Amino acid sequence: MAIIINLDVMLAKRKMRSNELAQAIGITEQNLSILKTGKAKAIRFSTLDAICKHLECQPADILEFRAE
Amino acid sequence: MDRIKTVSHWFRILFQAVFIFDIAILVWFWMSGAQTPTTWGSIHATFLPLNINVSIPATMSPFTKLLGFLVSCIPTGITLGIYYCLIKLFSLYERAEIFTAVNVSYIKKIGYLLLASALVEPLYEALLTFVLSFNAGHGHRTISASFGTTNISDIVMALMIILVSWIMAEGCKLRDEQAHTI
Repeated sequence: MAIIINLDVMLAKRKMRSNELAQAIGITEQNLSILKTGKAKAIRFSTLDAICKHLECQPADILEFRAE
Repeated sequence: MDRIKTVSHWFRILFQAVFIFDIAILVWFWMSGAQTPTTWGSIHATFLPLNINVSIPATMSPFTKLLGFLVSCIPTGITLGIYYCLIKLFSLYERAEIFTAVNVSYIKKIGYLLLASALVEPLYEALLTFVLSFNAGHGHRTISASFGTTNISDIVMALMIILVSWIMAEGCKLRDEQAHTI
């Protein structure tokens, strides 16, 4: 897939751990791991909204399109 | 889940036993020195077309018996393929893998094998009648093939199984997509 998830970068910038973010936004660590590793097929707006709120960032900071 | 595992375990063993039994019965039928019947009570040898109902004579030449055995391997091979798929399917059920793409592929294979079995039946019936009558006198050799309502209902059943497996495959894709929607 050409959509790259830069969640690890944002977590490092905000000095936050994956399990903290997962707990904060109400998803399991496994689901967050699926998202981080690029295995997710879709993301809900509500999840994206919660991630951006807790990481104080824009969707473009997490989602990047890279032509294959 | 335990009940599924237990039932699957016993059915796997059953199909493994039937797999071996089918091979043994086929070999015994053609290779034994005794006169072998084609029916036992109401049970007809599954590798013989229904309209071949005469005992295989003990005086038949070994070459004819070998040809008959090889021709009978066609339907038996398909049946063994079906048993193999069922064994694999029930092994997966034993491991609690019930709605997976691998399961669906085995169900699809069973459907295609049933379809092949129904379509190939007239061909091997023709081959077998030719082999059995080859050593008969001039004017007594026969080739016969039949295609009736039994074959048609087998084809319809096979197509239904293939259709159901396709629906299950689509269902697996939808479930996979749902599982990977965060």
